[in-house]
Amino acid sequence: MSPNREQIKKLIAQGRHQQALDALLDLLSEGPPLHKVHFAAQMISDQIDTASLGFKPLRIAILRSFTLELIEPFMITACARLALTPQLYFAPYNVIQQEVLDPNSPLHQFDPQIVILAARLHELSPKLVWQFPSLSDQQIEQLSEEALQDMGQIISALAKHSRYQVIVHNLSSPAYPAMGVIESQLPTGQRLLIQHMNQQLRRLAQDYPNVYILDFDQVRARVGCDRFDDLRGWYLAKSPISSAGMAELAKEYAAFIRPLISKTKKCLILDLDNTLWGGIIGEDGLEGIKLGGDYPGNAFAEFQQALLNLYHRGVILAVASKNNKADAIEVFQKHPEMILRQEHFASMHINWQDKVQSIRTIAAELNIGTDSMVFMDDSDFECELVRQELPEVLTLKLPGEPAKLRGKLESLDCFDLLGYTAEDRARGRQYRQQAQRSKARAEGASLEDFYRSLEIKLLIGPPQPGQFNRIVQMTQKTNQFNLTTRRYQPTDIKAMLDSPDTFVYALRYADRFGDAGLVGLAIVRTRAKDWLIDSLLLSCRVIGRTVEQALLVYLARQARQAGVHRLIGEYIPTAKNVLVKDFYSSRGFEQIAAHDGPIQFRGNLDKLPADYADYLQVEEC
Amino acid sequence: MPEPLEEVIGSVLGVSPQSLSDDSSIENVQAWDSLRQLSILLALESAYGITITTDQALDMNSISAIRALLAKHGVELPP
Repeated sequence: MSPNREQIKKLIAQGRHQQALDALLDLLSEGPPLHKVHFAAQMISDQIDTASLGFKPLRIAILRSFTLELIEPFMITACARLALTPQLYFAPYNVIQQEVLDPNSPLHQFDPQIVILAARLHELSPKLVWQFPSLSDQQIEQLSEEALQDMGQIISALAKHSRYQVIVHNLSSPAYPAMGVIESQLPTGQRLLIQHMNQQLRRLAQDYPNVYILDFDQVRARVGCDRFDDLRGWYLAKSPISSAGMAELAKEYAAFIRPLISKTKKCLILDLDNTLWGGIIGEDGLEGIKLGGDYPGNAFAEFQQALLNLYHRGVILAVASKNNKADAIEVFQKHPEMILRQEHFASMHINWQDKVQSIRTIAAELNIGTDSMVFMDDSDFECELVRQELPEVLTLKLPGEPAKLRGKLESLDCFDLLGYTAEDRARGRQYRQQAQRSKARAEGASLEDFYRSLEIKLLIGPPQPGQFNRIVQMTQKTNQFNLTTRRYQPTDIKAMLDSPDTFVYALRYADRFGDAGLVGLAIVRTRAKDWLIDSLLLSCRVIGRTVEQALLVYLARQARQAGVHRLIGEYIPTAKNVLVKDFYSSRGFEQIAAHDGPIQFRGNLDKLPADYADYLQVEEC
Repeated sequence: MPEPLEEVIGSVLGVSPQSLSDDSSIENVQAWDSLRQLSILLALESAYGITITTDQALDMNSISAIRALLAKHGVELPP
């Protein structure tokens, strides 16, 4: 039963803002009638004290060739799931070029963080949409080139503003192509032309690190063209998208925004019974559980395959299940239809303790925050418990119907990234190695023996080709071992690499358990007499292995070679980086008298260690 | 039980349902502009499960006109 207006208002009047927000988000996930979406959006923007719930403002500018204002309540509610308060600027209808090219336009004065470019071919080049059958090949070519040039000019002008993250709608095909069914038989045609133009748009976007293409027809197809398009709205108010369409489009924008503001989830924790297989292993036994073969076993098998695909995309998988461990492990080892294997899970907690405890333990083992976790379970009780105790975990109750499992997983956008790196591909394996290292540590005698036993190899130096995306990603995602938590966009890093006054150094780590890839980063700004360490960060996977000390030794060696005498370190406290509060003072730096801004530390090179620990094999490149 | 009409329209216009009466119209409610008019149309369709034509949309300029339209669609509103 969804909450009504009075119940929500009562919660707010009682000061229970979090509960009111949760109730509204629950209501929204039911796909309520439109007026309830409006109501929820009003409550979230005007009545709920979102600032006290940690909401941050986000300035979003929408440049459009058609009316898109009806999306506002959907944007407010979609952003609420990301703890964001959107501030929307709608540029005047169809004056995109002027807004973008004039440096004093309201668009630039608004100083958006996100720019959405929503232009349709209908307005860019109406003849290509409405008069296609009457056009000659030559006209078609000319019109399509002009339209692409217009788009290219707008995109490149926007991309120059490196602070803007630009989301570009690609071009949409008519639901029924101009020539009817014969289109697919002809060497050319309207749909083929639009596909070709979209390929060129895609190539264009690849030239800019801050431009991303949104596949508009994919959003439209999910809703269905007939339900997505609304010609009444188009004729009455130049608003061609239905409210179902607006809802899906806002969701798609949020899927782009999540990685842009570094809120991507990292780890998925799963139940076993009625999740990875149908039935209960402790009661039904190895022969009785449903997995593979006919329904419902085939639905669980496909769900496992979808999970394995997530694993290969870099999502860390873990298990929290109430079971006898031996029973559950037997399924992994002996059931012929199991697609997921133990090796795919970084951590498995199969026991009778409560799942909140298991989730906390998994977070500690993997050294990641619970706010980067997603929990999936078929039990209302477990979901409710986790929701109450760990509200920062995204808790998802699995659909009771097995046929809906795979779709539920594939529709999740919380793991989406806008860059994909070799480290992502190998992450699952690396976190499993992490768990093995923890074990080795428990067995090792002294700490130094333990480090030695790991046979750590480090490679430190300026970035190599192919490391760019990973470097950007590390500045955006690293929280705990991060001295300054300065988040950089691709354009920022590119500017640093091009600048003679800034050095970017990357650190790769490998040991006898495997290659962890690029896990450390330092950014240094050179000044006349000293080097300022702008950023120093380390992936949580390698915390506690003295790798950071090696990175500092490397910086000192480089500085010495460059003829400077001092390193200046900075610490900016955040909710998550208390771990590194004393990093510089513990490494021979002295705190500089307090002033505004970051806490600074001075390290004279003659007082800093000049050599790497003897248990590390370090190669400078 | 269908939602009260004032609830639906009040939510879309961002005003309290109590502030609306049968006399409320595009002329005397400030938030009610042509774009909101479209929102009202879409909200009525999703709240009452009906389909409104473009011509009918042009006439939906007041609560009383909307009441008449819903009656034509066989929607029984709560008193």
